[in-house]
Amino acid sequence: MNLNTKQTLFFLVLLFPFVLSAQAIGDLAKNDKTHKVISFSLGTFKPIAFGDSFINDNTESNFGVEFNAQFNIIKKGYVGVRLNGFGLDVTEANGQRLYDRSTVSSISILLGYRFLEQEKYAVTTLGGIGRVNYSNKVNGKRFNDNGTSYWFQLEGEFSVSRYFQIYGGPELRLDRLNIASADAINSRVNNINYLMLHIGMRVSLWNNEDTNKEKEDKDEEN
Amino acid sequence: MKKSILFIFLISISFQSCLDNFEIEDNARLYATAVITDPANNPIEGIDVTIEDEGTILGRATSNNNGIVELIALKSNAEFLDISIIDNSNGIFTGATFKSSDQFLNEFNLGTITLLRKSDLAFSINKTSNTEEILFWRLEIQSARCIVYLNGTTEDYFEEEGCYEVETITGSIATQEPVLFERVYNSILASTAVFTYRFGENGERTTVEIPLNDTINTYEFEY
Repeated sequence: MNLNTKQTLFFLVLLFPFVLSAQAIGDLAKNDKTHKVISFSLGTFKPIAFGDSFINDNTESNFGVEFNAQFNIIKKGYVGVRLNGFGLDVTEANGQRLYDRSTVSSISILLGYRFLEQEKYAVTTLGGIGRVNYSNKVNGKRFNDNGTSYWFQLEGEFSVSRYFQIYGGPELRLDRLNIASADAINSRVNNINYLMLHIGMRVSLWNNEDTNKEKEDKDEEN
Repeated sequence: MKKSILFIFLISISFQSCLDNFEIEDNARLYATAVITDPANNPIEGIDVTIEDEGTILGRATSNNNGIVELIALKSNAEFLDISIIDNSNGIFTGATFKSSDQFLNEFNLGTITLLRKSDLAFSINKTSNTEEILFWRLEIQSARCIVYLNGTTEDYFEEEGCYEVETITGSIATQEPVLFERVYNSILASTAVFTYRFGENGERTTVEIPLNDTINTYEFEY
């Protein structure tokens, strides 16, 4: 993965105040107003290219790694940041290949909405837009192709515990690159479509505003 | 001592960087397309087409059974490009080289490229006698060479433009001792090479026609 370490650290520092402000409710029960405040996800995914593109016709993808940070802005809705990366091995066609390998990295902003939520399960739709970079290698030389990545994902989540969840689901991702070329191959080299299959784990922190209020009410009653 | 080694290392790195300025351009691809046929307009399968920057191959493709070849290539920072047509699989057809000096072009439609069948002439002059007469000779032969400028002029390139032109090779042998002169010339099948010679400045001129009907032909002039 070719993500800039400084950028990653920068985002982690940005997230730190949210972590401090999110007060875990511990063993207290949920009520209607408790919700996640912040979640961090680490997962893997398998990109499956499809459609008429150079990448689909001439590469084989490796498993990728992703990191998400999500902040709830409303009870069921959240914004976040996604960093991910995966590798592509360029295959031979007629004994020839254009270059050896590509490392694909992207950073996106995301919006998500949990439209179905139960005690143990939740289903979320999320989508994002971001910057994608294909760092290509040929005979020891490197060159880059970059562009914009648009994606939409359906995600199922299973809660192992209050703080720990496992998630998975399919993603449709459209990479639109900025490669200057002839009109005849413009779409083939620039428009890359993927179906990505995700699985990962998530750590979440919850608000306790309302549970504190419940405790205060009980104290007053006593 | 350590500082000296470090200094030499840094100088070496800098020198290497100056020499090695070949780079692949970001966000750029080249595209070339052509139809390869023989003189009877039949498509030729298996012809390799490469785009090269001073010997470094940026992309390669092979013609299909309709003679069509489509090639996506990387783009380097070079000003000059060669698009080479080579018959690596059949080995019986001539090649061609298309040259470009316009680094802003990213598309090359080469149209229909007609390749001819190759024929080699193994030509030799074998002086076995001790005659003192000077041999003046000339060989006119149709060349298998094909260079096409896609843009630019002769001043831009090291090679002159031209396809399958008749080349004239001349020579003389003035030594008294026996000598053997041998060369192989790449030519076109079913063409005719013409060998002309005379002994001395005012000798009678003799002309010999050499039909090139085989893939490899041999002609030896012995005197």
